[in-house]
Amino acid sequence: MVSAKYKNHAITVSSIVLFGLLWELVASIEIVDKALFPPMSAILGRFFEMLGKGDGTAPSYLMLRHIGATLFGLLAGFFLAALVSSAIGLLMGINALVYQWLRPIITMFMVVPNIATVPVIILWFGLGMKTVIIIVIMGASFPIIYTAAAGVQSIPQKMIWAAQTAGATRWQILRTVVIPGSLPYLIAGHKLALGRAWRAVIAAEIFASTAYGIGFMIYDARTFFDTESMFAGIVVVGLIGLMLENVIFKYLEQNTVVRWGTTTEKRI
Amino acid sequence: MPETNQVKIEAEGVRKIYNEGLTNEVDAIADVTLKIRDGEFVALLGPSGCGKSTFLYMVGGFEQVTAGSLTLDHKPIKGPGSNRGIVFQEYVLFPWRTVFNNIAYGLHLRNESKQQIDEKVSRLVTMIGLEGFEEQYPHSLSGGMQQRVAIARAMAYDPDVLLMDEPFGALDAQTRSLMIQDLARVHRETAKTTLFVTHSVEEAILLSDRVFLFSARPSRIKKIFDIDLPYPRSVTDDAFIDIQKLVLNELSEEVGNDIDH
Ligand SMILES: Nc1ncnc2c1ncn2[C@@H]1O[C@H](COP(=O)(O)OP(=O)(O)OP(=O)(O)O)[C@@H](O)[C@H]1O
Ligand SMILES: [Mg+2]
Repeated sequence: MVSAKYKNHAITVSSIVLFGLLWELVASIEIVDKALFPPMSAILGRFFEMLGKGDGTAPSYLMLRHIGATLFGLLAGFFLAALVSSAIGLLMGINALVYQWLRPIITMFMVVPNIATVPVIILWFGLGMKTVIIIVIMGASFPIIYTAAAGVQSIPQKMIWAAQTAGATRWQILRTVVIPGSLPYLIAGHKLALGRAWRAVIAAEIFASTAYGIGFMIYDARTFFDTESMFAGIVVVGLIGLMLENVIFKYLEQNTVVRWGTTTEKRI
Repeated sequence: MPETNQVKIEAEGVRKIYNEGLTNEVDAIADVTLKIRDGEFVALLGPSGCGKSTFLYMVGGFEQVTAGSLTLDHKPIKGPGSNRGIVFQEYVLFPWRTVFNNIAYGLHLRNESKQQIDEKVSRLVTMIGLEGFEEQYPHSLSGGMQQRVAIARAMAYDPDVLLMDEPFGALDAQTRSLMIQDLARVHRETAKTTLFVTHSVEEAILLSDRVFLFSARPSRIKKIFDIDLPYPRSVTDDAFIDIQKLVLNELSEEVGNDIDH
């Protein structure tokens, strides 16, 4: 018997393969110039070429270096944001005064597009990885803060009362009720934040990287009219994004909110 | 029953106004004065919205009294504590804890030994008839099963006083009558002081030593009924029916008042 999980994986993979084939087909009709709209086979060819040992003109394992730089910037920024912003959000949810004072500021920053902050952060911190990470933190923080606060507020008052009556201290209530109770929201917020972090890391690399990073690679390829590399970069971002989402969040959800029946999403 | 005559809970001119001085002010309780003895099972009965839950929450320490005094063991109630156990009408179990861990919650907080926890919880699981469901999460249980877990959770850490807010309100008739029998038996075994809020005159008489009838809002204690029937009680006994008529008459007066307002 094929398990439902296996079937879902099969559909995910098939849908992506199908998209690639469709791309290939459209490109092969050549309504658009091949130089502008390269076929998927050429894009993947370029990808594997960059993945391997260089031919002398390009450095070896170039693609891995780009991916490594991007993943480092992405994950460092994302995890720092997750740590700090979850704490701020939980505090806002617990304390009404903190909430009232911080909410307007958070809401304001939420609507400012991440890329608008890039020039000034470059001025402050110069070019390089540090700037990339800071831009990612800026991008990922606000959805986490927002949803963490909403998560705490979603916990029924009586659940807190039940814990207090059983003798829970403030710290025990935080650990045994507030955090697990807001987890469905926290997970949703972190998913949103990871999406924002991807946008931020690519934008940051375009403006602030000096050597490596997929954003840098895409922008750099423009100078040589190298659309194959540009699309290879885009495909890589999409595929890694999909993998991260599936690895980190699916696992976390299966073992928490899905098991508890508190998931915020409808199961398909 | 030892020390049955000792006063456990005492309310003296208790008044409760929600949102005092604001436009959404609610005068919930006008004046409640009562004494509940140690080990006693009392039912709080009254029309909807008269402040029964409010009174229970004040005994729980979740809500403050606006005026008057409310004491437990002769000490003013300042806040919630583990000398009381509460069962809410909506169960409010912890969805992220299994049946076992929900019941064990208060014991985990106290860092009791695993052996002690296992022993206490399995005794309670047997009492509520949920053997085999220990590792299930609440969302997979029926309403009646969840309510039984909530009762076990409130009893697990052995509080002096049990506070129950319409615990059987959402149950089907059959589960409800089983639960009433169980609760009556458990009360006879443990002799815990119990405050039991209910809409059902039948439940009140089946279970309690005394029934406190609240008037319509803002409420006072309108009448106290002593229920001297022997256990096990049956709704078909003549004596039961007589008392039931008495209580129903008084109650319908209040419900009528409520509608007039
Ligand atoms: N937190 C609150 N803030 C403002 N008003 C409240 C609050 N809780 C209860 N009330 C009001 O106080 C009154 C008494 O409410 P309470 O819930 O104690 O009644 P009850 O007797 O338990 O009713 P029911 O039998 O319907 O459960 C009601 O008018 C209610 O609207
Ligand atoms: Mg009520």
